[in-house]
Amino acid sequence: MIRCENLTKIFGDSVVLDNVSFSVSKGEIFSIVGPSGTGKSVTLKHLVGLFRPTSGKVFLQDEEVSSASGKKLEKIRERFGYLFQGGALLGWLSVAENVALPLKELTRLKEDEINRQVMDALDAVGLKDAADLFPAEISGGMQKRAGLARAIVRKCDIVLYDEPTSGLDPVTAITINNLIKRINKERGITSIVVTHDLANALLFSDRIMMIKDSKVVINATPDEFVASANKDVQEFLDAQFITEESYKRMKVEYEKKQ
Amino acid sequence: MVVTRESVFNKNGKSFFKVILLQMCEMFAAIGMSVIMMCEALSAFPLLFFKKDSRKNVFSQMYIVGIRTLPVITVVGLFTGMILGLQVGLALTKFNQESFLGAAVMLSLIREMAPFVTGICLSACVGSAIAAELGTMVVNDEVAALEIMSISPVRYLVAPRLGALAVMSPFLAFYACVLGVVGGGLIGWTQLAVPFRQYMVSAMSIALPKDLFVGLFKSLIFGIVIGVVSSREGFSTKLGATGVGKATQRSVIISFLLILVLGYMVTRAFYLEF
Repeated sequence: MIRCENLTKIFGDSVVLDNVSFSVSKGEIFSIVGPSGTGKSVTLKHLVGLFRPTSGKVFLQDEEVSSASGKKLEKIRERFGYLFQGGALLGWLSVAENVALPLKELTRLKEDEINRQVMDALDAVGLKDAADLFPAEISGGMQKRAGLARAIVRKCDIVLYDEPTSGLDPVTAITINNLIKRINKERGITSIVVTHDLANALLFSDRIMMIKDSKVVINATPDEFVASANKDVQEFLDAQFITEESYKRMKVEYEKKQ
Repeated sequence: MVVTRESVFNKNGKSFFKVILLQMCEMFAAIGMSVIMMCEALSAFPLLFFKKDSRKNVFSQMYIVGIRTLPVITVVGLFTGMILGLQVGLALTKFNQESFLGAAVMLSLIREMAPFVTGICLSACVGSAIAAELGTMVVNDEVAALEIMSISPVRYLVAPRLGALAVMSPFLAFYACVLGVVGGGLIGWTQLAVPFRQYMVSAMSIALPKDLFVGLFKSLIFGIVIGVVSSREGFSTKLGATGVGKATQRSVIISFLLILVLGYMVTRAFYLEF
C-alpha cells in the first residue's frame, strides 16, 4: 500500500535518512523504532508529503507522494490520519471541538450525530471528562490522546502515529496501544507507528523496522526481530531489558488478555 | 493550495550565484503563493456564512480587528489630525489663510493620512499577531494537522482574518478620519484662534464623494494586503520560536512597504490626470 524507495533526506550537512526502503501492506501495523534523532518522524512526514526527499520516492499504491503537489497531494492526504508528537490541537477550541472539527468541516452530519461520534472517540481514549477543557488546561499526555481521538474520528485508510505513547503513564500507554490494535482490526486501517516503546511495539505490530544512523538496520516480524543476531538490534533490546524468553512470556500474557 | 509542503528551493551546498538565483526564484514563488492564497481566501468568503462555526469565527476576527484596535486608532487618528492642524495652521497663519485650515486637514486625512495611519496601525497590531499566531501553529504542526484532515488552512484560517481586515479597515479609516478632523479643529480653535464652526464649514465644503471613496478603497486594499502578507509570512515560518519572530518582523516590514507603494499607486491612478 505504501512504498518508500531509496529515501534519502539531507538537512544542511546532516544526512537524516540514507537510502531507506520499505513497504507497508494494507491493514498492517508497521512500527518504526530506533534511537532518538535517527529520522523516524522525518520518515513519517515524507509519507504525507510534509517533506520532499533529497532523493528517492514515496508511493501510496501507484501514486507518487514525493512529487505530488496541489490538488493531487490534497487527495492523497485525505486518505491519512496523523497523530503528531504534541497532539497539534488548535488552542482556541475545546477538546471536544477539536475532535469534532473534521466532522463539522468535512461532513454534513447533524449536531447530535457529531456529538455522539466525538464522545465515542473521547471515551475510547479516556478523555470524556475533559471534553470541555482547552488544550492549555490539560497535560501533554492528554493532548496526545485528544489528538489520537481526532485522528480516528474520521474515516481514513492509513493512520500515522508519531510517538503515540511517549510521555504517558504505563496504563494509558497500554490503553493507547490496545486502541491502535483495535481500530486496526475493526476498520482494517493500515497503521504506521513511530515509537520508542519497543516492548509494546513487539506485541501489537505485524512488522518492525529499526532505523539507526539514518539507515535501516532491520525490517522483520516481531519474532524475527527478537531472534536477530544484529548487534544494533541486540543493543536496543538489551537497553529495554527484553530477551527472547521475556518476549515469549509477554506475548503469552498479551494473547491471554486479548 | 497546499501550505505545508517543503520548499523546492534547496540552497544546501550550492554556490553563491546559485543561492542568489534560488533566492530570487523563492521571492517570485512567494509572490505567486500570496496571489493564489488571496484568490482562494476571497473565493471562500461566501462559504464562511453558511456554517455557524465559520460565522462565529469571522465575527470574532472582526472583533479583534475592529474593536480591539479602537483605542490605538483613536489616539493615532486624533493626534494625526492635531499634528496636521498645528503644522498646516502655523504655515497658513503666515499668509493669513487660517480659514482654509479645515479644508487642508480634511483633504490630507481623507485622501491619504487616515487610510495610511490605519494601515500602519493594523499592520503593527493585527498583521503581526496573525503572522505570529499562524507561525506558531506551523511550528506546532497544527497547520499540517489541518491539511492532513483535508481542511484547507487558507479557507479555515486565512479567509476569516482576511475578511475581517477587508471589512473593518475602511470603517476604521473613516473613524480615524473623523477623529483627525475633529482633532485638527480643536487645535485650530484652541491654539490658532480659528472658530470651530468656520473650520468645519471649510472642511466639509472641500471634500468630494470621490475623495471619500478613494480613501475607503485605499484602506480596503491595505486591509487585504496586511491579511495576505501576514498570513503568508506566518505560513512560511521555519525553525521554531526564532522563525516566528522573524516571520512577524518580515510581515510588518513588507506590509509597511506595500502600504506606501500601493498608497502612491492608488493616488496616482485616481488623481493624476493625463
